[in-house]
Amino acid sequence: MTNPVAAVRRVPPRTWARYRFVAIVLTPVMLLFLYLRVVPTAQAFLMSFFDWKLIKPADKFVGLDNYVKLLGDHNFREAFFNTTLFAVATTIVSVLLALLLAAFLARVVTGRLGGAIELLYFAPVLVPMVPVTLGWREIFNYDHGILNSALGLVGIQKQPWLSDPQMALVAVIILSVWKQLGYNLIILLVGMRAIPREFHEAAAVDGAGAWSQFRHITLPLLRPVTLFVIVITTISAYNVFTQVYVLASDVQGSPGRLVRVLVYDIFENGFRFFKMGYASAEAVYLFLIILALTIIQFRFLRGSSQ
Amino acid sequence: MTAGRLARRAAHWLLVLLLLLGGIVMVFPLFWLASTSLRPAPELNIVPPHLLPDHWTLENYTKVFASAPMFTYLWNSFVFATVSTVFILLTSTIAGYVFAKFKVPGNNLLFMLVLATAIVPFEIYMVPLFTQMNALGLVNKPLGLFLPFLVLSYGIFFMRQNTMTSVPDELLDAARIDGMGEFAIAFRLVPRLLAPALFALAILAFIQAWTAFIWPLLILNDPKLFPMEVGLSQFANNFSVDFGVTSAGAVIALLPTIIAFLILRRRIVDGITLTGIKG
Amino acid sequence: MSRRTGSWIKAFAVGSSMAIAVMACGSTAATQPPASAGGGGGESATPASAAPASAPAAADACGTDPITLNVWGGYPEIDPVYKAAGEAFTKLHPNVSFTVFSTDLRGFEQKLTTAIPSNTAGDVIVRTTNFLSRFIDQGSLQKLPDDIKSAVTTSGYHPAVLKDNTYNNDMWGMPLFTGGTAVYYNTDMYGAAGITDPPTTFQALIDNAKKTFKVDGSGNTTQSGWSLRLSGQGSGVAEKFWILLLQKGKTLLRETPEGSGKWVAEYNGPEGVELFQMYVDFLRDGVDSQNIEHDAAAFEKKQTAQFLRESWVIPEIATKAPDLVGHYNTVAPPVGDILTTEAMFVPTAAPHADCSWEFIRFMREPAQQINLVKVSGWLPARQDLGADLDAFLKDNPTYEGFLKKPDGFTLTVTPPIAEFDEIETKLATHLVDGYADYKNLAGNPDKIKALLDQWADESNQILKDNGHYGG
Repeated sequence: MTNPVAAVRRVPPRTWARYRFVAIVLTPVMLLFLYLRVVPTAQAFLMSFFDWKLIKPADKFVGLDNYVKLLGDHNFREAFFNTTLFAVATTIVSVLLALLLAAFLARVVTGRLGGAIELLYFAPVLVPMVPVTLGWREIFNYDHGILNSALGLVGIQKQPWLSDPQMALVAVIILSVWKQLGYNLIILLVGMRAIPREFHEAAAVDGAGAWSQFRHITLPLLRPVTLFVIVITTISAYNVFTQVYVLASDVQGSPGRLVRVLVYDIFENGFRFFKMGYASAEAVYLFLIILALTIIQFRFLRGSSQ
Repeated sequence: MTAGRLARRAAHWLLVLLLLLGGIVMVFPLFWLASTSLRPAPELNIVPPHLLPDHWTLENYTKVFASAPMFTYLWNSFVFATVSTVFILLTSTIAGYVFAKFKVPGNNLLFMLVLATAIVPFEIYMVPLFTQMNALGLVNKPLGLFLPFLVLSYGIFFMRQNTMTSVPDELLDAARIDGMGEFAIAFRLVPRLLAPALFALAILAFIQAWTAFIWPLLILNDPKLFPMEVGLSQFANNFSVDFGVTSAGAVIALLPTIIAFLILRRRIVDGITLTGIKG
Repeated sequence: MSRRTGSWIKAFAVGSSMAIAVMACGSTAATQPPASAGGGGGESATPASAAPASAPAAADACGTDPITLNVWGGYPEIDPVYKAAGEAFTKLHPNVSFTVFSTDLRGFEQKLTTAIPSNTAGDVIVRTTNFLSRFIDQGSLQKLPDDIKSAVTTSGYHPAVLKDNTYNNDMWGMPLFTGGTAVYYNTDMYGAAGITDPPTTFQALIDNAKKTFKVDGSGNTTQSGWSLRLSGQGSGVAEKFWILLLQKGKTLLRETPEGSGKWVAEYNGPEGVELFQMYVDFLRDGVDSQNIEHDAAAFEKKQTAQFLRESWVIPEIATKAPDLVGHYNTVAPPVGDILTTEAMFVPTAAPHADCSWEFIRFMREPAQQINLVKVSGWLPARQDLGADLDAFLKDNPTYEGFLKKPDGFTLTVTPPIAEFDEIETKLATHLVDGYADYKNLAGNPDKIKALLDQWADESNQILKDNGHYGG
């Protein structure tokens, strides 16, 4: 290895052919990838330290100013609070419901019937967000929405789903749980079906009831899958945008309250107020949250496999 | 014994009934959109609403077609999703295969970079991405819409994993001994071994582009270029009070997805579980 | 598994160091001057003639090559006006065709903020000078050609319109229509409550609201006495608050001292507190409610006795709620109004600028101005339409509230500072939150004062950040 030329000569021609192949096919892909993913991500970090107006080059370096200002920004705090509440609620409800459904569909109601039911729950996952949000907007309508009519049948008062600040958040959560549930369900189902039947049979011989089996066999063995579902749901919930944008799209004063969420606030700061640097700092905060969630997932996954 | 079995059977069917009811609730919003879209305007304000229209009408649909080019939107979405899917399959398979099977200096570093960006959501870097597209003069151009959807970090990772498990080294070596060139192996042999993974990734990529909202909303100004999600949301804003009409628009936007789902059912579900990530 | 995690964390470390390496590349790309950043858009653009022909442009402004002009606006109900005008224009210039693009105002504003800097906006843009001022700062919009400017400034326009369309001591757009406000009131509901006179004082508006609202057995409001603007995206909520504040002689931002270009928030004074208190008291007492329809929709469905809005509601009522025609009327706000003018602009990058301006000259003609109000209900910016406008008012007496103003009526224009939109939008967000918290705030002026002060601090801070604070 003292003579590099000699070292290169020792590489057999076949290997050179492979290197050439790799260079030819990988270069365009990696160039695209660098330009479309790495550069903008790096830029987002860079811009966050500048007072940066849309299109104009960086005005001036402001260090951590944007980050500090954000902490005192009413809109950012509201967005952070709403998004967190939304993410936690959506995750808890959709994962718990999915666990319950998966338990039944994996062990009790199986076969073609179970498969058909599974598809019913899965359908909302696939449908695009804008049209179904329009549908939900009518369902939530205070006056003539079918949800309030249905609640009326069981003696519950009409609820201002779209105009009251708390209820508007609840409405977005309902819609998002509806959209997410089927996805969580099928992932958990795969996990449950992978649990060997013998485990349950052995437990049944020992006299364990259905609940006890679920509690002591299914849940522990399902832990990595459940964690995966929890993290995926939380991350996608932190990126919520389309449904709040459409639910609150302004209709000259008709009720439709905006639930301010992080991505909306980034959007507004960047593309309405032109504060791109500020918006980038906000995006970095969002990234840190997601990074933390991802690290938690990996730590727990490691823990559970040891 | 029989009483016990009977009770258990009854409990079983009660459970089935409950699950079915839940499932019906899940698809109800879709049914409700369809039902609303077929009502004449005066029936929209009836409280409590009737499940089905008293008088069926297609007038809402006529109004939609008179005021918004819904088919153009759908076609744009279809082209966008197809281009994106083809490119993501191509780029992910090539990069995944190379990362899995070739020990070339620097490969590991690149792959780790891919992994690191896989967790960065689009919303984080959309602002700089927009300025980049603008620098290239691609705002309001189809290419500006397509570009960010041509690679998928997760797709590269996913194809690498699948190549490692489904493409044995022995087979590649045998092919090489038979005189197959590297390109023939990569583009003819390997994809055949990866068919299920490719299908799963195709579904993921297609759904991702088909349902994209914030990027087309940002990059496009010309309604002739709008994909369905953006076109529909603008249309709905202009017709906000006429929710019979907005429902009809929504139904048109939903139909292709629902038809595809009815045809492909299981394969879509399996594809999604295989990739384990949402669009 | 643990190895995988280790390598994953390593991946991230490597990723971030690579990212730093790439930053250099990113920053060079970004420091290119905006002109070259125009890229593809710029290539097809003819360089904007710095001083467009000052003589009234000849017929050859549009040449003979086929041209398509793209007209962009934020009000879909005006589309037919542009289309009709476009057809008439095409008769004069057969090589010119038109496309019209419009969405709801908020979506439109969002589009402009991405389209104008990227040189992908339409050939003609219709929006207010104030909203577009940030693009004027960037050099993205052309100046108004001299001949149009002198025609506009010589006669036919209210001084407030000219003021509203002046930015950096120059004019940039041709005033097309104005967004004046009037009180719409339902004469049947007034009659049922024994009210005979139109509401010409602020107190009358309050009293009439209290006389006309209705609640059902369980205390829910079924008909509001005054449909206030309580929610919605963008700045609309703050704009409505502003209009009502004007009735109390105050405004959102006060120029201090007058003419200095420096501003201070004024809405947190005693009048602002009083006004906000009216909102939350109304909500507490059920005079208005967040749970019922609002604004034009409420008025059309006969669920409110009165509300304030621009004139476009009149034709909308005629088509959507024809049974209401003859059962309502309009009257000017008691003391004053804000005046916003939607004007027609041409982007610097517009490829057929001369022809765009030619079309704008065409839109200034009386026939187009009259057609505008006839079709869309928006008020023409020109006031020298003489007999045509009189005849229109005679045929459409409900426009009286918009065209006949009481003596001493004042028109306030938007402060000519680019950050006003941010200030107003943020105030709107606060107001929406504040109204929603009415149970806590009603009857509690101290809390309201503290809240308004807090918001005013934010407004003043934005002014300071932009060098426009005059406190």
